[in-house]
Amino acid sequence: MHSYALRVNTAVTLAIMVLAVLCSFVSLSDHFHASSPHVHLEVLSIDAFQRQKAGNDEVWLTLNISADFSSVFSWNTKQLFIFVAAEYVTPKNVVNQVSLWDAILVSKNHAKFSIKTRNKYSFVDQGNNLRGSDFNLTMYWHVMPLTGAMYTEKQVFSGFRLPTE
Amino acid sequence: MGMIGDAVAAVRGTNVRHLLMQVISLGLIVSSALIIWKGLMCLTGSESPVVVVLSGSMEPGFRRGDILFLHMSKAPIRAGEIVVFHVDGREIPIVHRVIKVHERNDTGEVDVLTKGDNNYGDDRLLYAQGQMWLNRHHIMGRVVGFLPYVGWVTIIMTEQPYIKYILIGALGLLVITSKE
Amino acid sequence: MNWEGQKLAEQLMQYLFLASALISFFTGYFFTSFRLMLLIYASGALLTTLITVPDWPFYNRRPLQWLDPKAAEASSSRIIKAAKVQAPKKASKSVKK
Repeated sequence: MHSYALRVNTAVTLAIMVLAVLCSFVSLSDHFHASSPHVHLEVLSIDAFQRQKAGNDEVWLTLNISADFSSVFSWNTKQLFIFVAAEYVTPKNVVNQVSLWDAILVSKNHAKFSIKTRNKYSFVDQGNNLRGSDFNLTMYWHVMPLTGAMYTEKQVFSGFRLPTE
Repeated sequence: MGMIGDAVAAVRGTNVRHLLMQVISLGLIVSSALIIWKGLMCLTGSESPVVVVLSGSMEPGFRRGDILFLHMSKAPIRAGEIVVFHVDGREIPIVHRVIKVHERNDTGEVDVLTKGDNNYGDDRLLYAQGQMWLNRHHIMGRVVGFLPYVGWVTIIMTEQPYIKYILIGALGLLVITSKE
Repeated sequence: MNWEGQKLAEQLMQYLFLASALISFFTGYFFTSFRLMLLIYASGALLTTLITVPDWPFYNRRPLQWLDPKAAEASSSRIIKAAKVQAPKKASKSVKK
Protein backbone atom coordinates (compact mmCIF):
# COMPACT_ATOMS: atom_id res chain seq x y z
CA MET A 1 0.00 0.00 0.00
CA HIS A 2 2.80 2.40 0.83
CA SER A 3 3.99 2.69 -2.75
CA TYR A 4 5.98 5.36 -4.57
CA ALA A 5 2.85 6.67 -6.27
CA LEU A 6 1.09 7.03 -2.95
CA ARG A 7 4.02 8.86 -1.40
CA VAL A 8 4.36 11.19 -4.41
CA ASN A 9 0.63 11.87 -4.19
CA THR A 10 0.90 12.69 -0.48
CA ALA A 11 3.92 14.90 -1.05
CA VAL A 12 2.28 16.88 -3.88
CA THR A 13 -0.98 17.34 -1.98
CA LEU A 14 0.83 18.44 1.15
CA ALA A 15 3.10 20.79 -0.85
CA ILE A 16 0.15 22.54 -2.48
CA MET A 17 -1.74 22.78 0.80
CA VAL A 18 1.24 24.28 2.61
CA LEU A 19 1.77 26.67 -0.31
CA ALA A 20 -1.84 27.84 -0.08
CA VAL A 21 -1.49 28.44 3.65
CA LEU A 22 1.80 30.25 3.01
CA CYS A 23 0.13 32.53 0.45
CA SER A 24 -2.72 33.34 2.81
CA PHE A 25 -0.19 34.27 5.50
CA VAL A 26 1.58 36.51 3.01
CA SER A 27 -1.64 38.33 2.16
CA LEU A 28 -2.39 38.53 5.89
CA SER A 29 0.99 40.15 6.49
CA ASP A 30 -0.12 42.96 4.15
CA HIS A 31 -2.58 44.12 6.80
CA PHE A 32 0.36 45.19 8.95
CA HIS A 33 1.82 47.21 6.12
CA ALA A 34 1.26 50.91 6.73
CA SER A 35 1.34 53.15 3.68
CA SER A 36 1.42 56.92 3.53
CA PRO A 37 1.57 58.05 -0.10
CA HIS A 38 1.91 61.71 -1.00
CA VAL A 39 -0.20 62.98 -3.85
CA HIS A 40 -0.59 66.42 -5.30
CA LEU A 41 -2.85 67.31 -8.21
CA GLU A 42 -3.40 70.64 -9.87
CA VAL A 43 -4.90 71.97 -13.05
CA LEU A 44 -2.31 74.09 -14.80
CA SER A 45 -4.50 75.34 -17.64
CA ILE A 46 -7.72 74.80 -19.51
CA ASP A 47 -6.52 74.52 -23.08
CA ALA A 48 -9.65 74.09 -25.13
CA PHE A 49 -13.37 74.04 -24.72
CA GLN A 50 -15.51 72.80 -27.53
CA ARG A 51 -18.84 71.31 -28.37
CA GLN A 52 -18.67 68.04 -30.27
CA LYS A 53 -20.88 67.33 -33.28
CA ALA A 54 -23.06 65.15 -31.09
CA GLY A 55 -23.65 68.10 -28.79
CA ASN A 56 -21.44 67.03 -25.92
CA ASP A 57 -19.04 69.38 -24.18
CA GLU A 58 -15.37 68.50 -24.44
CA VAL A 59 -12.52 69.99 -22.45
CA TRP A 60 -8.78 69.75 -22.89
CA LEU A 61 -6.67 70.57 -19.88
CA THR A 62 -3.14 70.27 -18.58
CA LEU A 63 -2.52 68.62 -15.25
CA ASN A 64 0.38 68.67 -12.90
CA ILE A 65 0.62 65.35 -11.11
CA SER A 66 3.21 64.71 -8.46
CA ALA A 67 3.10 61.73 -6.18
CA ASP A 68 5.18 59.37 -4.13
CA PHE A 69 3.68 55.91 -3.90
CA SER A 70 6.80 54.07 -2.75
CA SER A 71 5.37 53.43 0.71
CA VAL A 72 2.40 51.58 -0.77
CA PHE A 73 4.65 48.83 -2.12
CA SER A 74 4.97 45.84 0.18
CA TRP A 75 6.64 42.51 -0.53
CA ASN A 76 3.32 41.25 -1.86
CA THR A 77 2.65 44.02 -4.39
CA LYS A 78 2.61 43.13 -8.06
CA GLN A 79 1.62 46.49 -9.43
CA LEU A 80 -0.14 49.73 -8.74
CA PHE A 81 -2.62 51.01 -11.26
CA ILE A 82 -3.00 54.70 -10.61
CA PHE A 83 -5.43 57.00 -12.34
CA VAL A 84 -6.80 60.50 -12.05
CA ALA A 85 -10.51 60.89 -12.56
CA ALA A 86 -12.61 64.03 -12.89
CA GLU A 87 -15.81 63.63 -10.90
CA TYR A 88 -18.80 65.92 -11.09
CA VAL A 89 -22.58 65.95 -10.80
CA THR A 90 -24.97 67.09 -13.49
CA PRO A 91 -28.77 67.43 -13.44
CA LYS A 92 -29.02 64.32 -15.59
CA ASN A 93 -26.38 62.16 -13.94
CA VAL A 94 -25.85 61.59 -10.26
CA VAL A 95 -22.35 60.21 -10.87
CA ASN A 96 -19.93 61.21 -13.60
CA GLN A 97 -16.45 59.73 -13.47
CA VAL A 98 -14.13 60.48 -16.34
CA SER A 99 -10.68 59.02 -16.22
CA LEU A 100 -8.18 61.61 -17.47
CA TRP A 101 -4.82 59.98 -17.00
CA ASP A 102 -3.45 56.65 -15.76
CA ALA A 103 -0.20 54.81 -15.24
CA ILE A 104 1.04 51.42 -14.08
CA LEU A 105 3.72 51.32 -11.42
CA VAL A 106 5.51 48.01 -11.15
CA SER A 107 8.35 48.84 -8.81
CA LYS A 108 9.14 50.98 -5.86
CA ASN A 109 11.93 52.70 -7.76
CA HIS A 110 9.55 54.34 -10.20
CA ALA A 111 6.89 55.19 -7.64
CA LYS A 112 8.01 58.76 -7.12
CA PHE A 113 7.33 61.07 -10.03
CA SER A 114 6.11 64.45 -11.10
CA ILE A 115 4.75 65.17 -14.56
CA LYS A 116 2.88 67.79 -16.50
CA THR A 117 0.49 66.23 -18.93
CA ARG A 118 -2.50 66.80 -21.15
CA ASN A 119 -5.47 64.60 -20.36
CA LYS A 120 -4.74 61.19 -21.88
CA TYR A 121 -8.41 60.30 -22.33
CA SER A 122 -10.98 62.72 -23.66
CA PHE A 123 -12.87 64.70 -21.06
CA VAL A 124 -16.34 64.58 -22.58
CA ASP A 125 -19.64 65.12 -20.82
CA GLN A 126 -22.94 63.42 -21.64
CA GLY A 127 -24.56 66.70 -22.68
CA ASN A 128 -23.36 70.25 -22.29
CA ASN A 129 -23.07 70.85 -18.58
CA LEU A 130 -19.36 71.47 -18.29
CA ARG A 131 -19.26 75.25 -18.62
CA GLY A 132 -18.87 76.84 -15.25
CA SER A 133 -19.29 73.56 -13.41
CA ASP A 134 -17.44 72.44 -10.31
CA PHE A 135 -15.51 69.20 -10.37
CA ASN A 136 -13.22 67.11 -8.21
CA LEU A 137 -10.01 65.48 -9.24
CA THR A 138 -9.45 62.17 -7.53
CA MET A 139 -6.30 60.14 -7.50
CA TYR A 140 -7.09 56.44 -7.21
CA TRP A 141 -4.53 53.72 -6.62
CA HIS A 142 -5.60 50.19 -7.33
CA VAL A 143 -3.22 47.77 -5.64
CA MET A 144 -2.76 44.38 -7.23
CA PRO A 145 -1.05 41.96 -4.85
CA LEU A 146 0.84 38.84 -5.84
CA THR A 147 -1.54 36.85 -3.69
CA GLY A 148 -4.66 38.01 -1.92
CA ALA A 149 -7.43 40.45 -2.67
CA MET A 150 -7.03 43.62 -4.71
CA TYR A 151 -8.02 46.91 -3.15
CA THR A 152 -8.42 50.54 -4.15
CA GLU A 153 -7.70 53.69 -2.21
CA LYS A 154 -8.20 57.29 -3.20
CA GLN A 155 -7.46 60.88 -2.38
CA VAL A 156 -9.91 63.58 -3.44
CA PHE A 157 -8.90 67.09 -4.47
CA SER A 158 -11.95 69.30 -4.65
CA GLY A 159 -12.76 72.87 -5.57
CA PHE A 160 -11.89 72.95 -9.27
CA ARG A 161 -14.13 74.99 -11.53
CA LEU A 162 -14.32 75.06 -15.29
CA PRO A 163 -14.57 78.53 -16.87
CA THR A 164 -17.88 79.75 -18.23
CA GLU A 165 -16.25 80.67 -21.50
CA MET B 1 -14.62 -28.65 -6.60
CA GLY B 2 -16.79 -26.75 -4.15
CA MET B 3 -13.82 -24.64 -3.16
CA ILE B 4 -13.09 -23.64 -6.76
CA GLY B 5 -16.73 -22.71 -7.26
CA ASP B 6 -16.49 -20.54 -4.14
CA ALA B 7 -13.43 -18.81 -5.47
CA VAL B 8 -15.05 -18.15 -8.87
CA ALA B 9 -18.12 -16.75 -7.17
CA ALA B 10 -15.94 -14.56 -4.97
CA VAL B 11 -14.02 -13.25 -7.99
CA ARG B 12 -17.27 -12.57 -9.85
CA GLY B 13 -18.73 -10.85 -6.84
CA THR B 14 -15.78 -8.60 -6.32
CA ASN B 15 -15.68 -7.73 -10.01
CA VAL B 16 -19.28 -6.56 -10.12
CA ARG B 17 -18.83 -4.73 -6.84
CA HIS B 18 -15.56 -3.23 -8.04
CA LEU B 19 -17.16 -2.05 -11.27
CA LEU B 20 -20.08 -0.54 -9.37
CA MET B 21 -17.68 1.21 -7.01
CA GLN B 22 -15.81 2.68 -9.95
CA VAL B 23 -18.99 3.91 -11.60
CA ILE B 24 -20.11 5.45 -8.32
CA SER B 25 -16.79 7.14 -7.64
CA LEU B 26 -16.74 8.51 -11.19
CA GLY B 27 -20.25 9.85 -10.73
CA LEU B 28 -19.20 11.32 -7.40
CA ILE B 29 -16.34 13.21 -9.02
CA VAL B 30 -18.52 14.58 -11.82
CA SER B 31 -21.37 15.55 -9.53
CA SER B 32 -19.14 17.18 -6.92
CA ALA B 33 -17.52 19.27 -9.68
CA LEU B 34 -21.00 20.31 -10.78
CA ILE B 35 -22.01 21.11 -7.21
CA ILE B 36 -18.94 23.28 -6.70
CA TRP B 37 -19.61 25.14 -9.96
CA LYS B 38 -23.28 25.74 -9.21
CA GLY B 39 -22.51 26.64 -5.62
CA LEU B 40 -20.00 29.23 -6.79
CA MET B 41 -22.63 30.60 -9.17
CA CYS B 42 -25.03 31.06 -6.27
CA LEU B 43 -22.39 32.50 -3.99
CA THR B 44 -20.91 35.00 -6.42
CA GLY B 45 -24.09 35.89 -8.27
CA SER B 46 -22.21 35.67 -11.53
CA GLU B 47 -23.23 33.36 -14.34
CA SER B 48 -19.65 32.20 -14.80
CA PRO B 49 -17.75 32.67 -11.53
CA VAL B 50 -14.38 31.68 -12.96
CA VAL B 51 -12.88 32.83 -16.26
CA VAL B 52 -9.52 32.32 -17.92
CA VAL B 53 -7.58 35.27 -19.31
CA LEU B 54 -7.06 34.69 -23.02
CA SER B 55 -5.28 37.86 -24.10
CA GLY B 56 -2.50 40.08 -22.87
CA SER B 57 -4.59 43.23 -22.86
CA MET B 58 -4.44 43.59 -19.07
CA GLU B 59 -0.71 42.95 -18.68
CA PRO B 60 1.19 43.16 -16.44
CA GLY B 61 -1.70 42.75 -14.02
CA PHE B 62 -3.28 39.69 -15.57
CA ARG B 63 -1.39 37.48 -17.95
CA ARG B 64 -2.63 34.97 -20.47
CA GLY B 65 -3.49 31.79 -18.60
CA ASP B 66 -4.42 33.37 -15.29
CA ILE B 67 -7.70 32.32 -13.71
CA LEU B 68 -9.96 35.11 -12.47
CA PHE B 69 -12.66 34.81 -9.82
CA LEU B 70 -15.67 37.01 -10.40
CA HIS B 71 -18.20 38.47 -8.07
CA MET B 72 -21.40 40.22 -9.04
CA SER B 73 -22.80 42.32 -6.24
CA LYS B 74 -25.49 44.96 -6.16
CA ALA B 75 -22.84 47.61 -5.49
CA PRO B 76 -22.65 50.26 -8.21
CA ILE B 77 -19.92 50.04 -10.81
CA ARG B 78 -17.21 52.66 -10.41
CA ALA B 79 -14.16 53.75 -12.37
CA GLY B 80 -11.04 51.69 -11.77
CA GLU B 81 -12.80 48.39 -11.24
CA ILE B 82 -11.92 45.48 -13.46
CA VAL B 83 -15.06 43.97 -14.96
CA VAL B 84 -15.89 41.09 -17.24
CA PHE B 85 -18.42 41.95 -19.90
CA HIS B 86 -20.26 40.49 -22.84
CA VAL B 87 -20.56 42.40 -26.07
CA ASP B 88 -23.55 41.68 -28.29
CA GLY B 89 -22.42 39.53 -31.20
CA ARG B 90 -19.26 38.32 -29.50
CA GLU B 91 -19.08 34.96 -27.81
CA ILE B 92 -16.03 35.40 -25.63
CA PRO B 93 -16.32 37.73 -22.63
CA ILE B 94 -13.70 40.43 -22.18
CA VAL B 95 -11.87 41.44 -19.00
CA HIS B 96 -11.03 45.15 -18.91
CA ARG B 97 -10.92 48.13 -16.59
CA VAL B 98 -13.65 50.74 -16.26
CA ILE B 99 -12.39 54.21 -17.13
CA LYS B 100 -15.59 56.23 -17.41
CA VAL B 101 -18.88 56.01 -15.55
CA HIS B 102 -22.06 58.04 -16.00
CA GLU B 103 -24.89 57.04 -13.69
CA ARG B 104 -28.35 58.39 -14.48
CA ASN B 105 -30.16 60.41 -11.87
CA ASP B 106 -33.70 59.14 -12.45
CA THR B 107 -33.32 55.50 -13.52
CA GLY B 108 -29.99 54.62 -11.92
CA GLU B 109 -28.86 53.07 -15.21
CA VAL B 110 -25.12 53.28 -15.79
CA ASP B 111 -23.12 54.01 -18.91
CA VAL B 112 -19.65 52.53 -18.65
CA LEU B 113 -16.59 52.75 -20.87
CA THR B 114 -13.78 50.23 -20.51
CA LYS B 115 -10.18 49.91 -21.61
CA GLY B 116 -7.48 47.26 -21.36
CA ASP B 117 -4.54 48.43 -19.27
CA ASN B 118 -2.14 47.32 -21.96
CA ASN B 119 -4.18 48.61 -24.90
CA TYR B 120 -3.58 51.97 -26.48
CA GLY B 121 -7.15 53.13 -26.92
CA ASP B 122 -10.47 52.51 -25.23
CA ASP B 123 -12.85 49.67 -26.06
CA ARG B 124 -15.33 51.43 -28.36
CA LEU B 125 -13.79 49.57 -31.29
CA LEU B 126 -14.47 46.25 -29.56
CA TYR B 127 -18.10 47.04 -28.84
CA ALA B 128 -20.91 46.30 -31.25
CA GLN B 129 -21.30 48.59 -34.27
CA GLY B 130 -22.31 52.04 -33.07
CA GLN B 131 -22.32 51.09 -29.41
CA MET B 132 -20.84 53.83 -27.25
CA TRP B 133 -21.37 52.54 -23.74
CA LEU B 134 -21.75 49.33 -21.78
CA ASN B 135 -24.77 48.98 -19.54
CA ARG B 136 -25.40 46.98 -16.43
CA HIS B 137 -26.74 43.95 -18.32
CA HIS B 138 -23.53 43.60 -20.34
CA ILE B 139 -21.45 43.17 -17.22
CA MET B 140 -21.03 39.66 -15.86
CA GLY B 141 -19.05 40.48 -12.76
CA ARG B 142 -16.09 42.25 -11.30
CA VAL B 143 -12.76 40.57 -10.68
CA VAL B 144 -11.99 39.89 -7.03
CA GLY B 145 -9.15 37.40 -7.17
CA PHE B 146 -6.84 35.54 -9.47
CA LEU B 147 -4.73 32.42 -9.65
CA PRO B 148 -1.67 32.49 -11.91
CA TYR B 149 -0.85 29.92 -14.62
CA VAL B 150 -3.61 27.42 -13.77
CA GLY B 151 -5.69 28.51 -16.75
CA TRP B 152 -3.04 27.32 -19.17
CA VAL B 153 -4.57 23.86 -18.89
CA THR B 154 -7.81 25.10 -20.45
CA ILE B 155 -6.05 27.24 -23.05
CA ILE B 156 -3.98 24.28 -24.20
CA MET B 157 -6.99 21.99 -24.20
CA THR B 158 -9.14 24.34 -26.28
CA GLU B 159 -6.36 25.06 -28.75
CA GLN B 160 -5.15 21.46 -29.10
CA PRO B 161 -8.25 19.29 -28.74
CA TYR B 162 -6.37 16.01 -29.16
CA ILE B 163 -4.52 16.68 -25.90
CA LYS B 164 -7.93 16.87 -24.26
CA TYR B 165 -8.88 13.44 -25.61
CA ILE B 166 -5.56 11.95 -24.54
CA LEU B 167 -5.99 13.41 -21.07
CA ILE B 168 -9.57 12.20 -20.71
CA GLY B 169 -8.55 8.76 -21.96
CA ALA B 170 -5.66 8.55 -19.53
CA LEU B 171 -7.84 9.64 -16.62
CA GLY B 172 -10.51 7.12 -17.55
CA LEU B 173 -7.91 4.36 -17.80
CA LEU B 174 -6.56 5.36 -14.40
CA VAL B 175 -10.01 5.21 -12.84
CA ILE B 176 -10.76 1.80 -14.36
CA THR B 177 -7.43 0.21 -13.45
CA SER B 178 -7.15 1.67 -9.96
CA LYS B 179 -7.67 -0.84 -7.18
CA GLU B 180 -8.29 1.56 -4.33
CA MET C 1 9.85 0.17 3.38
CA ASN C 2 8.72 -1.32 6.68
CA TRP C 3 6.22 -0.01 9.19
CA GLU C 4 8.74 2.01 11.17
CA GLY C 5 10.13 3.41 7.94
CA GLN C 6 6.68 4.44 6.72
CA LYS C 7 5.96 6.23 9.96
CA LEU C 8 9.33 7.95 9.81
CA ALA C 9 8.79 8.98 6.18
CA GLU C 10 5.39 10.48 6.84
CA GLN C 11 6.55 12.38 9.90
CA LEU C 12 9.64 13.60 8.09
CA MET C 13 7.47 14.79 5.18
CA GLN C 14 5.19 16.81 7.43
CA TYR C 15 7.96 18.39 9.50
CA LEU C 16 10.11 19.19 6.49
CA PHE C 17 7.27 20.89 4.61
CA LEU C 18 6.38 22.89 7.69
CA ALA C 19 10.02 23.85 8.24
CA SER C 20 10.55 24.95 4.65
CA ALA C 21 7.35 26.98 4.74
CA LEU C 22 8.38 28.74 7.94
CA ILE C 23 11.93 29.40 6.76
CA SER C 24 10.78 30.69 3.38
CA PHE C 25 8.13 32.95 4.89
CA PHE C 26 10.46 34.64 7.33
CA THR C 27 13.33 34.93 4.87
CA GLY C 28 11.00 36.40 2.26
CA TYR C 29 9.48 38.81 4.75
CA PHE C 30 12.88 39.87 6.02
CA PHE C 31 14.25 40.53 2.55
CA THR C 32 10.81 41.77 1.32
CA SER C 33 11.00 39.44 -1.63
CA PHE C 34 8.11 37.23 -2.59
CA ARG C 35 10.26 35.63 -5.25
CA LEU C 36 12.88 34.57 -2.71
CA MET C 37 10.15 33.03 -0.57
CA LEU C 38 8.85 30.97 -3.48
CA LEU C 39 12.36 29.85 -4.46
CA ILE C 40 13.19 28.72 -0.93
CA TYR C 41 9.87 26.95 -0.56
CA ALA C 42 10.24 25.23 -3.94
CA SER C 43 13.73 23.98 -3.11
CA GLY C 44 12.50 22.86 0.31
CA ALA C 45 9.64 20.95 -1.28
CA LEU C 46 12.01 19.33 -3.78
CA LEU C 47 14.38 18.30 -1.00
CA THR C 48 11.49 16.87 1.03
CA THR C 49 10.30 14.87 -1.95
CA LEU C 50 13.80 13.53 -2.54
CA ILE C 51 14.15 12.53 1.10
CA THR C 52 10.76 10.95 1.65
CA VAL C 53 9.67 9.45 -1.65
CA PRO C 54 12.49 7.09 -2.67
CA ASP C 55 13.02 3.96 -0.60
CA TRP C 56 16.26 4.95 1.12
CA PRO C 57 18.05 2.23 3.13
CA PHE C 58 17.54 4.02 6.45
CA TYR C 59 13.80 3.37 6.18
CA ASN C 60 14.53 -0.37 6.42
CA ARG C 61 16.66 -0.50 9.52
CA ARG C 62 14.11 -2.58 11.39
CA PRO C 63 12.78 -5.19 8.94
CA LEU C 64 9.70 -7.16 9.87
CA GLN C 65 10.27 -10.49 11.52
CA TRP C 66 8.18 -12.99 9.62
CA LEU C 67 7.24 -16.24 11.23
CA ASP C 68 8.67 -19.41 9.78
CA PRO C 69 6.32 -21.19 7.42
CA LYS C 70 4.44 -24.03 9.10
CA ALA C 71 3.02 -27.09 7.49
CA ALA C 72 -0.71 -26.68 7.01
CA GLU C 73 -3.07 -28.78 9.06
CA ALA C 74 -5.76 -30.74 7.30
CA SER C 75 -8.50 -28.65 8.87
CA SER C 76 -6.87 -25.30 8.26
CA SER C 77 -8.81 -22.33 7.03
CA ARG C 78 -8.01 -20.40 3.91
CA ILE C 79 -6.22 -17.66 5.82
CA ILE C 80 -3.43 -19.88 7.00
CA LYS C 81 -3.03 -21.27 3.53
CA ALA C 82 -2.73 -17.82 2.17
CA ALA C 83 -0.10 -17.04 4.77
CA LYS C 84 1.79 -20.10 3.74
CA VAL C 85 1.85 -19.04 0.14
CA GLN C 86 2.78 -15.45 0.84
CA ALA C 87 5.12 -15.67 3.76
CA PRO C 88 8.26 -16.89 1.99
CA LYS C 89 7.80 -14.33 -0.77
CA LYS C 90 7.48 -11.41 1.63
CA ALA C 91 10.30 -12.58 3.84
CA SER C 92 12.70 -12.55 0.95
CA LYS C 93 11.46 -9.15 -0.14
CA SER C 94 11.28 -7.52 3.25
CA VAL C 95 14.31 -5.39 2.46
CA LYS C 96 12.25 -3.66 -0.21
CA LYS C 97 8.85 -2.13 0.32
